[in-house]
Order: sequence, then C-alpha cells, then structure tokens
Amino acid sequence: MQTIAPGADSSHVSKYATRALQHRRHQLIIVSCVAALMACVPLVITDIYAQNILVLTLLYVSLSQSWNILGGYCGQISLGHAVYFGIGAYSTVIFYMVGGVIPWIGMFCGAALAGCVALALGYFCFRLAGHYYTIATIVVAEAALVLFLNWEWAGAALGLQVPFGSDSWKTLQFGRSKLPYYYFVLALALSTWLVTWLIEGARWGYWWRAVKDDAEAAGSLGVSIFRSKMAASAISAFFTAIGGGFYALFVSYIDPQSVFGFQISLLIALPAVLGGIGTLWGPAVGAILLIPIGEATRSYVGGSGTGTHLIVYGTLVMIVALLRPQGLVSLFGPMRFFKTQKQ
Amino acid sequence: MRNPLLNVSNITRDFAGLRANNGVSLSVDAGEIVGLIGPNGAGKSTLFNIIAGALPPTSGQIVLDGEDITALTPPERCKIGIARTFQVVRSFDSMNVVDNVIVASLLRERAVVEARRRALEILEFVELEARAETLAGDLTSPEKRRLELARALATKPKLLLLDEVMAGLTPTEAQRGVELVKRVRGLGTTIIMVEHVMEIVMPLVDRVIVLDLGRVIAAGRPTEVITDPKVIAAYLGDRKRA
Amino acid sequence: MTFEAVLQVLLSGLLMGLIYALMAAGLSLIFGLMDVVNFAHGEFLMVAMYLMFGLTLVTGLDPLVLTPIVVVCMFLFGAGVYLGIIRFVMRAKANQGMVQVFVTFGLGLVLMGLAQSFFSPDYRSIGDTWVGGKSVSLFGIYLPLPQVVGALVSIVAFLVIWLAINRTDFGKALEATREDAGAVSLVGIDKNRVFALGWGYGSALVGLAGSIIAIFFYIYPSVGASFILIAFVTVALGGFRSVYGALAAGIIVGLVEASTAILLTPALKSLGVYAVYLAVVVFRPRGLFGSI
Repeated sequence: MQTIAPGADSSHVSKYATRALQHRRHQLIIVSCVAALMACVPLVITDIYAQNILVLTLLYVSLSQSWNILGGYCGQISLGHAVYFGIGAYSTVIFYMVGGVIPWIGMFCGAALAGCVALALGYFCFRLAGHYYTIATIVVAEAALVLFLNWEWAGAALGLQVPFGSDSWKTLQFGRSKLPYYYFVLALALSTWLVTWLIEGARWGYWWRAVKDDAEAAGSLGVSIFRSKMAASAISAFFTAIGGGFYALFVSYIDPQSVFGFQISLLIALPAVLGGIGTLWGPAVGAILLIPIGEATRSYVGGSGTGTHLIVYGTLVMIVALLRPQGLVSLFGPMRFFKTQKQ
Repeated sequence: MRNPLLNVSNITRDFAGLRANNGVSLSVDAGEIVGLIGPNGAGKSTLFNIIAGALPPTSGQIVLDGEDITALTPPERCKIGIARTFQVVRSFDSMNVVDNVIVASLLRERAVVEARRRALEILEFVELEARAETLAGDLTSPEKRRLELARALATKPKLLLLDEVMAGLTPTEAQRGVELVKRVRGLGTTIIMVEHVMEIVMPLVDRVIVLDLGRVIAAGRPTEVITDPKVIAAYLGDRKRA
Repeated sequence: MTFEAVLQVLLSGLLMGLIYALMAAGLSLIFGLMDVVNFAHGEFLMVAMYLMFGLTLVTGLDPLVLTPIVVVCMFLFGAGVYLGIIRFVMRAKANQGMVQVFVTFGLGLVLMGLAQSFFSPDYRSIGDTWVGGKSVSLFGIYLPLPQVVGALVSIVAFLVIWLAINRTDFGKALEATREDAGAVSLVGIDKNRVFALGWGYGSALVGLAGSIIAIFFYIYPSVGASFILIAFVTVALGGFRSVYGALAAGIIVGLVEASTAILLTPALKSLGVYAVYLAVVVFRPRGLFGSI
C-alpha cells in the first residue's frame, strides 16, 4: 500500500533510537546498584526498630508501585486498594490455617483472587468518570471492611492469629530475626519495579499513558481503552495482594481494620502522588519519604495521641499536589537517569 | 466502474429536537481528496464524527471497502483503516513528540523498537523530527497540528479525516500545510477534509461536497460548485433559517 | 414485626435521611458550581461539630441558639479555604482532577490532625441540651427529638436553597457560572467571588448539619470519616450536580440504611446503602438526577 520511505537523514533516526535504548539500560544499571546497596543495609543497621521501619518502607514501596500501575499509567485513581491488600492478607492466613497450604502458594492464590475481583470491579466501574470511580473504590473497600468485621468464620472483629511455628522459609515465619522478611520484601519491591519497567518499554506502557492523558484521543488511534484499564487493574491488584499476604506473615496477626481500613488505601496511594504518579521511581521516592516520617512522628512526638503525622502527611500532599503535581522526581530534572522516558 | 472506497448512505442524525444530518449520502473514491464544506451549522462536524465513529447515526449506513462499518467503535475503525485528527488538538501532554506517535504506530508494529523507527520516519515526513524529544504540550500550534497528522498517519490509514487543519494558519504555514496534504495523498491515502478556509481548500481538493442545514446541496469539482447558485445562496444567507 | 415497629424504622430512616441530605447538599453545591469534589467535606463537618462543642462549653448556651453562629463561622471558613487554597487548584492545567482530589484530601488530613492534636482522640458529647435525649410522640410512635428538629431544619434549608437559586441575583450568577465559567467574566461577574461564595454557602450548609448532629452524636477527630462516605454516596446517587437530587437521595439512603438495620443486623446497615449505591452507578452512572 503506502510506504513512508526512510528519509535521507536516517542517521538522526537511529541516533535517537540508540539513545532511547541506552536510557533503558541505564535504568537497569541504576536499579541493580540500588538493590545491591539495599541488600547490604541491614548488615549495617542492626537496631530491630529501625529494621522494622525498613521492612515497612519497602513494603509500601512495592504497594505504591503496584498502585501506580493503575493510577499512574491508566489514570484511574483508586482510593480503595486496601480491598486487594486485605484479600491477600486474609487469603494467605486462611489457606494456611484451614488448608495447611504453605504461604507461598496461599499468597499466590490470594493474588489471583484479587486479580479476579479487580476485573469484576473494573467491568462495572471503569465506565464511571473520574471522581465517581474514585468514590466507588472507597465504597468497595469500606464494604469489604464491614463484611469482614461481621464474618464470624474469618474471625470477625477479633481477627486472625497466624499459628506459631519454628523459623522456616517454607512457612515464612521467623521469630528472632527480621532479616529474612527484609530480603523477601526487598525482592517484592524489586519485582514490582521490574514489572513497571517492562510495562514502560512495552506497548502497554505507551497505550496506558495515552489513555491517562486523553482517553478519547487514544481510542481514535486504535487503543482499546477498556482492555488497557482491565489489564492494568488486574496486575495492580495482584501485586498489592502479595504485599498483603506478606504483611500478614510479618505481623502474624490481622484484623479487618488493619488490612481493609481506609488508612491503608491512603498510605498505598500517597507515596505515588508525592513521588510522581506515572513515573518509574516516584512511588519509591515517596515511600522512602512518607513511611519513616510517619513512624517517627507517630512514636516520638507523643504517641498516637497527637495527630502530628496526619498534619505532616496532609501538608506534604497539599504542597506537592499544588506546586509540583508531577511529583518530587521531577525535581531531579538535570539528572536524566532519574526520570522516566523523557518525562 | 470503480467501487468507491467509502460509501455514506442516507445518514440521518437527530439531537433533541434538531436534525443535524438529514439523509446525507456521498461516496469517495480511493486516492481522492474531498473537501467537505458548508456554512456554520450545516452539520459538517456531525457528519465528520459519524464517519469517524465518535457519534452513532440515528439511521443510515457507512460502508468502507465493501464492509459495513456503521456499528464499529473508533478504535475498531482505526484498525480497519480510518484515522482522524481533532479540531482542537489533543496531544498526550505528559509524553514527548516521538512517544505520541509511537502510541499510534504500535497499532501496526508489534515491537516497540519497530514502532519507534516508524514513528521517527513519519516525523521526518511531516517535518517535525527536530522536535522529536520535546514534550507535546510545548509545541507551537502549527507544530501540534503536524503532530496530530503524524499520529494519524502512523496508523497506516486508508482514509484520513482532517478536521479544519488549515484554520488559523499564516499564509506561509498554510502553504506548507497544503504541500503536506499533497504528499499524504501521494502515499495513496484517501482524504476527506472539513474546511472553512476556501482559498486554501478549493485549489487543493479534487471534489467538493457542500452541506447546508443538514443536507447535501451540491457536489462536484471546485470550479463547478463555486458557481452553483444554491451554494452561493447558502453562504450569503439568502434563505430562511429556522 | 408490628406495623408500628416498621413505621418507626421507616420514619427514623426518613429523619436521618433528611439530615444526610443536608450534609450532602453543600458537597453537591460546590461540585455543581465548579467541578470540584471536596474530599475534606467530612472534616468540614467535624470542624463544625467541634466548633459547636467549644461554643457550648464557653457560653453555656444551647446548641440551637448557637447554630446561627456556627453557620456563619463555617461560611467564612469555607470562603477562606477557597480563597486561600482551592483558588490555586483551579489554575492547574494538567491532571486537574488528580490535583483536586489530593489537595482537598491533604486538607482533610491536616484538619483531622489538628483536631486530634488540640482535642485528643477522646470522644466528646454535648450534655444537657434542650432537645437532646428527648423523644416526641407521633401517632403513638416515639421519634428522637433531635432528629426531628434536624429533619425540619433540613426541609427549611432546602426551601431556602430553592428560593435562593431561583429568585436571587446570586442564584442566577451561580447558574451562569456553572454553565460557563469562562464567559461570565465577560459580563462582569467576578468568577472568584462567585466561587468563594459558593464554597461559603456549601460550608454553611455543612455547618448547619454539623450543629444539629452534634446534639445527638459523639464528637471525635475522625467523625468526618464516618459520615463522609454517606455524603458521597448520597451525592453520587442523586447526581453530582443536583442539589435537589441530594434531597431525594438522602431520603433514600436514610430509608435503606434503616431497613437494612432491621432486615439484617444494625452492624451491617451501611452495606445496604453501599449495595444500592453500587447498583445505581452500574446501571445509571450519572445518578438518579444527574446531568453528566
């Protein structure tokens, strides 16, 4: 049919293409260095309390990264991601307690279940515009909370206690040291980063960002908006649920409020907002900032009686949303390595 | 007798109380440049959006290359070869120029690497390659128009629908635009252009279709249509409006 | 289940529903005016309730007497929030929806944190009021007096809203700005003024609701979070832009909540509301009376 012949100046073409590929490779190099660094950290920082914060921070890095796959790339702001977190947590524990299924498989089942729930919800809710969708996600998470609070078989308000056993990688239980948990969650955070990196370089990444920017224009160029959102939603839910399963094993006790509560949904979304929605490094930057600050203000400034951590979170979010909605990563402008593809 | 590429049969579109298109029929042959003109409120945008799939007709049929496409959605139409530009340019502002085009070229190329190469070639074709790494939101207005065109071309359309691409351009820019449209036709693409700027459109198109108050009132070569008394009356307002 | 018992449940639901409608009206007004969903709406309610609590402590007067003061204060608060913060949200070019969500959200968090810091998380209540703890008998059915008062206040408020929108200049300016914010400045209407007033009136309505609710409900920093979902559901159910939709939806929500409490158990009463909400948005995304 028609062909657009390569122009005489195709050297410009290949120069740009090479640069783009190099950029991608640089990102991999950076994350490898970061990973190597992070792997050494707990050998240096041995205080149990600090290690606890590290684990939580990395957990939220992976949770927020997962959230970002839907919120940042397809533009669907969910404030009810706790529903997937909770499904992952409860599935892991229940499969273990009732069926004796080892947590590794239980986590995977929980994640698959969360993915299915995401597809079902997406089917009905993706037709909702902007705010309607966000509110629907809040309602769904709240409904899950109320359900589990009253579900006797699953422990209702009292929650579930993971049965104690000896230290073992099979059951992911470690009584004395936090290190194994740390490495697990580090691997999880790296996995979610990798998934995001793969998406960014693949067709889905381009299509999802287009859908986020202008869904109708994307549609006119052949992008299936609905299918993009469904795929993003399922992947996002999958990894969020794994995080939930990990959390259940890490703290050994879960109850509806602690895994389905709105504060979870908020803490999952905020790091991405702060760090940069739709960017590769944004959620990590945001989580590293928010989680330690939250823990510090919660514990050092007079316990949970004062609302200081709320004031801090709230102010940070407002400032970033108003002044720098692209997120904090955009501050590293001159350092190209820290940006996503030509952000 | 050649089979036309596009056959629009008896398209009617009602909005609450208003009949924007009234039994509009037209056909376009492959390789033609057709201009769709008419005074304000004639129903050009409505017809344009119906052909593009953004609006369903109340009744009537659209056939492309022998296939009835009336029920297809915009993404489906794009896949079978209809691409469109938007009157108010809608670029993906968080991405740069090349990435904007890659979104479109991914429809036809499986691998991102190939899609990127094609995107860069197309940018050269529309003379935008120097701005490849600029954020789409930072382009000037004529550059944005060319980006719209580049994106549409990346989907390898059989039929290209241009929505007032010449509006608001300086004479120099308009001249470049005309050259570009001719080059696109040179690729074998069929083009339908909705336009207001007569001096630019008339010398460019092979045929003109004139709409007024929802109906086709004239169709034919530019030289014929321009002397048609019905067309002159429509533009000069010499008739009663509802 | 006797007829009287059913009637009691339904009437209680109706009363609460009217109060929910009042609470949601402000949200609907602001969104209808400028396409901004105030995610801190629940915290505005909380602020009003704490304000009432503080005033009763300081003055010793009854909440019903102090209500006008709270309403005026909330009006000023709302207008101030617009002028000081929201005005800048409107300027955001890219990602406006997202900016909106998180700016108002952040504000809510800050307000909650401030309340927790100043008042501690303890539950408070206003004791010894004219209508608190009393009930009134209607055809042999006992209804809690505060809720009856609240429902009446709500009805009056909606009447006033109707009059204001249809009869006053401001009402017309509101409608005009809603239709085309860009064009109104061309005819001499100061967009910022209209928006500030809109936020003011919207917050005043929340203040009114909060004043009444404070009479019979506990006051604590996250009380806003407890009510906000009902408010959102009410507004989304009624259609985001329709203030009258909020009235109808509020009544429906109240009735559904009360019925669910009886048909299932009180602990699950919100599930009925959520289920109805999800069903409506699936089959009629723009709500019962919404326009978009």
